[in-house]
Order: sequence, then structure tokens, then C-alpha cells
Amino acid sequence: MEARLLRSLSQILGPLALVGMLAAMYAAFIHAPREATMGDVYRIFFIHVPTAINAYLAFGLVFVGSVLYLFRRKFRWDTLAEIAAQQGVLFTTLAMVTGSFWARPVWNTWWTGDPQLTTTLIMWFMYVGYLIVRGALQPGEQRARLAAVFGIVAVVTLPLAHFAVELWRGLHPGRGGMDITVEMRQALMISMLAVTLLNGYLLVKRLQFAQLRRRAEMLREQLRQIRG
Amino acid sequence: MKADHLRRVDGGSMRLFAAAWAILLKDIRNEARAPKVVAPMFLFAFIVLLVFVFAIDPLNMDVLPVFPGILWTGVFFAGAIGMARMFSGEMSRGSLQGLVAAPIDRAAIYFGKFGGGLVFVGLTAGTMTPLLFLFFRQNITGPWWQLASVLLLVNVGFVAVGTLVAAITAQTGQSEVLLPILLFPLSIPLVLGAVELTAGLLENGSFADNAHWIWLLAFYDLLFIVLGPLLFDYVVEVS
Repeated sequence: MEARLLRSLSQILGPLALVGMLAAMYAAFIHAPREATMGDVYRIFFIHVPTAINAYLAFGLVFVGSVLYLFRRKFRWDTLAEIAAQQGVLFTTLAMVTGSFWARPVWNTWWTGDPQLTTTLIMWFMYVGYLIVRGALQPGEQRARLAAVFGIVAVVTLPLAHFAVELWRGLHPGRGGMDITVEMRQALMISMLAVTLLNGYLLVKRLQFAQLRRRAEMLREQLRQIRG
Repeated sequence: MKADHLRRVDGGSMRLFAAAWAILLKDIRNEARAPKVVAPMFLFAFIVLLVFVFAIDPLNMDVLPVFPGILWTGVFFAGAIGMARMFSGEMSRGSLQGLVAAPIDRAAIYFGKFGGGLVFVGLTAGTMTPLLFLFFRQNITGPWWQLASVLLLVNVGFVAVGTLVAAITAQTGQSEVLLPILLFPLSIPLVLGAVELTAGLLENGSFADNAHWIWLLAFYDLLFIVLGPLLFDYVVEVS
């Protein structure tokens, strides 16, 4: 049942993500006009914002998976949390790297002590820590339980990172802080959708992979019992 | 799970308090016999202090802008050393299972450990802060209780979250390394608040411009005092 659901999901999400990414590239490079002050550099924004939002989405899923694991005690929720944490770290890294490329010409520096940057980095450390805790424990009930507790605690860094722009007013442009045209808004929406689809596709694929691995493990165990 | 019915028989907040108090006294007694938490924390704090004094040379430069940062970096580093060892006694003797199996609410274990951490980290921070002021030739212009209340607010939050994280990392067997890695990012709001408030106190001797930081610290403290015991229940569960 669950395997079939994942398979159909991946069959739908895969092509959609591909089409979405191509459309996003067209929208970002051709449909959206040059920006008045920054020129073409601003186009990084079409990958930077979607990856940042998707990092939040993934870390939100870590929280959901952790809470559900503690209540339901099903390993699938633990697996969801683990995979979401890895993807969240990936997307946060992408957001920080693309942001850095943008900051070099616009702020004339790769990195500053701006609140948005700092809180994002803290969030990144938090979830890398989450993955390190998992790595330090043997697979099983204890690891799932302790990781779930930490996955719940770690969520406090999300609002901190998300509202940093409003709370401290640093250099980082806030929501609605840039003058954007209708075409730019459309391009942003398309790239947001595309990256979210990609995020979902990766998640489903990796859930499938985890499931196959679990099945292989079970078969191996059965084989061992037959032989032994 | 079997002990659940026992636990419910004589619950109640008085019993929770009494059990937490007993665990706190046990930890203090243990420390008095062989200071395994406080001694390394104190030593580390003094070494950090000396390193800062040598590295920054407070006699020949104006350290006022960096002093709050130095103060709190020292306190947090030393605090992490202590928190990493809060459960080391239980882990090495295997007595955590004993505590968990006792017919008390697990929140009592959390609050007992929390109280212990509060005393040990508070002692270290309370000794270290005046010494740092002395070595760096700083003066607070306002009344001393203002700084003391910042120390207390920060200490409560740090130990509340530290106790929870220490209980997790103690079970990995790599607490000394893992705890700081997990605890520092979590305590960033505390560091920010503490540094801003201290800087305000050093400059104009009052909290006047910084009231929002006090609220942030208080909110953080409250959050983890509520969340801590709730999640601790899952951390020490015997499967």
C-alpha cells in the first residue's frame, strides 16, 4: 500500500519537477527582465529564495516526523525525519552559497555578521548536529527516540531564522524589500514551485530507497534463519 | 513502562518537589565528596580567563566594546564543560536506570538535575564574572543586582536546555564532544540577549533600551522549563 503510493507519487513528481525546473530556468533567465540597479546578478534570487523556503519546509518535516515518531513509534516517521533533515541541510547550504555569490557583487563581501545570515548558519549547525547525533548512535529504537527529541528542540531555530529580517533589520533584504515587477513575481512563483517539486521528488525517492533497504534487510534476516 | 501504575499511586506536586530535591541533594553531596563537575568547570573557566587576558592585553587597549562578548563566551564555554558531566556519574555507574525505575515522576529527575546544574554553573559564573571585571578593569555603573539578574536569567535558560541535551548526549558516550556542538547553537538567543544586556549595563547602567531582550530571555527560560521535563520523559525511557 505504502510502497505503491510512493511509486505513483514519484512517477508524478519526477516529470513535474523536470518540467518545472526547465520552466523556472526560462522564467528566471528570459521571462524576468533585468533589474534596474543590480543588473543580472539579482537573478540568483530565483534560486536563492526557493531553496531557503524549501529548507524551512524540510526542517518543518523533521519536526513533524519527530513528533509523530514519539506518539506512534513507527520507524517510518523516524526515516522521514532523517531524510528531511539531510535535505534541509542540503537546501540550507544551497541557499547560503547562492546568497554568498549574490552578496559578493552587491554587498562587496562573501559573508557578513548580518542577523539573517547568522541565524541561518545557526539553523544549519543545529541540523548538522541532529545528523551527528544520529551518527553517534546505533540504529534502532533508542536512536529514533533521542533523535526525535532533538528534532523537536531544534525547531526553535526556524522562527529565529525566518523572522531575523524583521526582528533585527540587518543588511539582508526583507520580504517585500525589493521592487519587483509582475514578470519577476511570476518567475519567482514558477521557480518556487519547481524547487518545491524537486524537494518532494527527492524526498519520495529516498523514502522508497529506505523502504527497499528495509525489505532487503528483512529478506537477509529470513535467509539467515533458513540457513541457520 | 511497568512502573507507570506505581508512579501514579502517589503522584502530586509535593512528591515531585521532594524527589527533585532529593536528587539535587544527592548531586551536591557527590560534588562535595569529589567535585567532578565543578572542579573541571572552575579550572576551565580560569584558563579561558587567562587566555583572554594574555591574548587581548586589557591594560593597553579599550576593551569595553568586546568585554561583554568575552565575559559570556567564557561563561558559556565553562558551562558546557560542566553540563557535559551532569550525567557522567549516572552513566559510569549505570545508575540512571535505577533513577528511572524509582516510583517517581521522571520530571523529578529532570528538575533535580536542573537544580544541580543551576547551582554548579551559577557558582562558576558567579565567581568568574567578578574576576573578569577585575582582570579587564571594567566597572558597572548601575546597581550590581542588575547584572546578577541577567546572570540568573541566562543561567536558567542555559541549564534548562543543557540538562535535556546532556541527557541525550550522555547516552551516545561522546558527551564531551557532542554536547557543545548541540548546545551552543541552541543557546545563541541567550548569548545574544546576555551580550546586549551587559553592553547596555556597561554603557549606561540600565536596561532602559533593552527591555525586549529581557522578554526574550524570560520567554526562552519558560519555553525550556516547560519543554524540558516533557521531552526528558522520552529521553530516559527504558525500552
